[in-house]
Amino acid sequence: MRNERTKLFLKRNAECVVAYCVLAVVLVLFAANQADFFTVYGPQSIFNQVITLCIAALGQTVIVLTSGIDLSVGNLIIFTNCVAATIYMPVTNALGGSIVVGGVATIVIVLLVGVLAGLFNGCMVVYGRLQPIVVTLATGSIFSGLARYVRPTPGGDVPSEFARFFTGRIFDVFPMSALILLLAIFLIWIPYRKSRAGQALYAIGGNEKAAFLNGIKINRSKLIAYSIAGLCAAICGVLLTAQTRSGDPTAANNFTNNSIAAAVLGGASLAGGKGSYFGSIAGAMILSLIVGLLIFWGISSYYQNLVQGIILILALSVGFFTEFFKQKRERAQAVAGKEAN
Amino acid sequence: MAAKSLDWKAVVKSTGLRLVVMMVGLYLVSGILEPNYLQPSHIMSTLVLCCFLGIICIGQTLIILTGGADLSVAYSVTFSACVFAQTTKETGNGWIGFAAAMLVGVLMGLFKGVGVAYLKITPMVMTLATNSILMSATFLYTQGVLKGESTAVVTALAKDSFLGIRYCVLLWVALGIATIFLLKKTTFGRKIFAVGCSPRVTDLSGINTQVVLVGVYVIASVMMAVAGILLIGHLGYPNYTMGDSYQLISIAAVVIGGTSILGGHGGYLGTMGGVVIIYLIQSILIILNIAEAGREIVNGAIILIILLAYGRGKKQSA
Repeated sequence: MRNERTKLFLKRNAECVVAYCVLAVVLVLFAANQADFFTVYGPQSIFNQVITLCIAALGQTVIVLTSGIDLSVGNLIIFTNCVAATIYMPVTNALGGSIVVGGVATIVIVLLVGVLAGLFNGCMVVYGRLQPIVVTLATGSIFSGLARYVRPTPGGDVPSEFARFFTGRIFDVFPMSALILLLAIFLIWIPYRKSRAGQALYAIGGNEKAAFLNGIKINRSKLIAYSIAGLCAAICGVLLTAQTRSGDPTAANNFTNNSIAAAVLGGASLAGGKGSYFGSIAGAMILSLIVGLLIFWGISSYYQNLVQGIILILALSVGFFTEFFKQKRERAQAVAGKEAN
Repeated sequence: MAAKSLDWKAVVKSTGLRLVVMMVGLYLVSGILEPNYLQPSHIMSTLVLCCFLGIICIGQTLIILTGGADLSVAYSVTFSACVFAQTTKETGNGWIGFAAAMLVGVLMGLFKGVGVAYLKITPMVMTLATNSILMSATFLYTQGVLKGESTAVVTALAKDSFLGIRYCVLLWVALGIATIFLLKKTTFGRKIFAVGCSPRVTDLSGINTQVVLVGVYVIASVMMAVAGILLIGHLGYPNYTMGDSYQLISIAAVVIGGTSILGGHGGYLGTMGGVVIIYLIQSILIILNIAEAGREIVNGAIILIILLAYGRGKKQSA
């Protein structure tokens, strides 16, 4: 019985399991190359490398589950990053000069901006009845323009305490980035997944018409999904601000590509209705840590995009090859069955 | 009589009329804002800008008609342009550079097409991944230093005129007519629409959809390579960001031109209208002296507004 359940679990989550296996290999390679891997600095540096993409991937996963795609996430992250870096000190000064109060206020404002931006995407998709790909392509251009408007030149003023808080360790042991990832899982993903709106994601992605006929509130569910995607992009923007201590509207960023890749690597289907954030986390970690490995091995950064692109294509072809061999086996069995008759 | 009045309704509702009205309207607005823009010389320079996007959009239209979308425009254009410039410099022969760029176009198309048709990877993701790979390829090929420049022939193509019309615009029109002919009058063209409407039904009808898809991606990538070479003629030198701005507007132009992003409906004539509309909007933004930031915002907003005007889906109903 137990064995049966394990088998079923493996069958249902094959891509996810493969992703975690690959992640394990990557981590072993990391351990072999990074001298302080087993000290408190090891996990800290690893989680700092992966956290931004892990958060961006949460938003992308939610959209992909509805069978949409979010091409604006990279630009929204840059926009929120620019807003955070620009308003931090003015807000702090306006609120009495305490960088803690200023920081909290900045984060609240930035998250609000993110949610509104996501909601705008959602409204265009739901009430505008447009395809998510063209909507997010267009709003991505708008967000990029807004980022340039807020911060015409790279820069900004972010206190070092803010950076240290988000990239440091709690009680000198536990990496803050890891805590943020846990919070994203336990405060955003799990409650959302268990809620009615979260369950609706899978129904909509599976078959929107059937979901509609079953009385699922499609419009509301989609609006919530896009708002959560915006929220995640804003969190990612805040973390990016803490890591770089500045905002750069012209920064080349791979968040759009890599968040989609992370979701797909983790087993999400772009057709919708299939996938989970737990898979996406593994995908996001693989994609960000690979970059670290290339640096360890002294490989030119020119290869970075090449490797990420090839991983994505390979990950997507795995499904094709397993299907191919399954069909071949079935055909062989059918032939064998006929001969037996 | 009744039949005639019905026809009029169809005409008023048609994408073609909307496009013409938009084009004339935008042109008049730009002319009112800046009277110089009404002169033929300015029309020609706008058309020159249109021709690069227009040729890229041949590829984008075909791919969108099959139900995909090419998100690798940026580096498909840049990489082939860099290959052209650098090979020309190394061999000293523009024709070898041209052949190399065309070869790169075919290879890029085969790569994307095989991924989409045989590995069954969603077109958007396949092209997104290809863009990453081509980005690396560009930097690895040039080793971070851009070499080469335009050749006399290519510069002439982009800068010289025949009877007052630039050669590159003539080339665009010729390629455009060829594309429309391909889509309307050849079996291959009809198969593209069939694949876009329903790949499954097309496959069951005995059409080899995989070959059609690979063919579409090869044609599209070759067109992007052609546009890359022409852009070198226009700019004089290659640069790493030369293709970036075309990613968004190539999809926008196709969709504005009335081709359904879901595939199966549309055509290239509409796309040509979409391309012209995009550049008329750009020229108005330039007259109004709006900075880069504002232009990006307005661009995105206008695309959304145009789509809201007529690109909307059906209302969900029982």
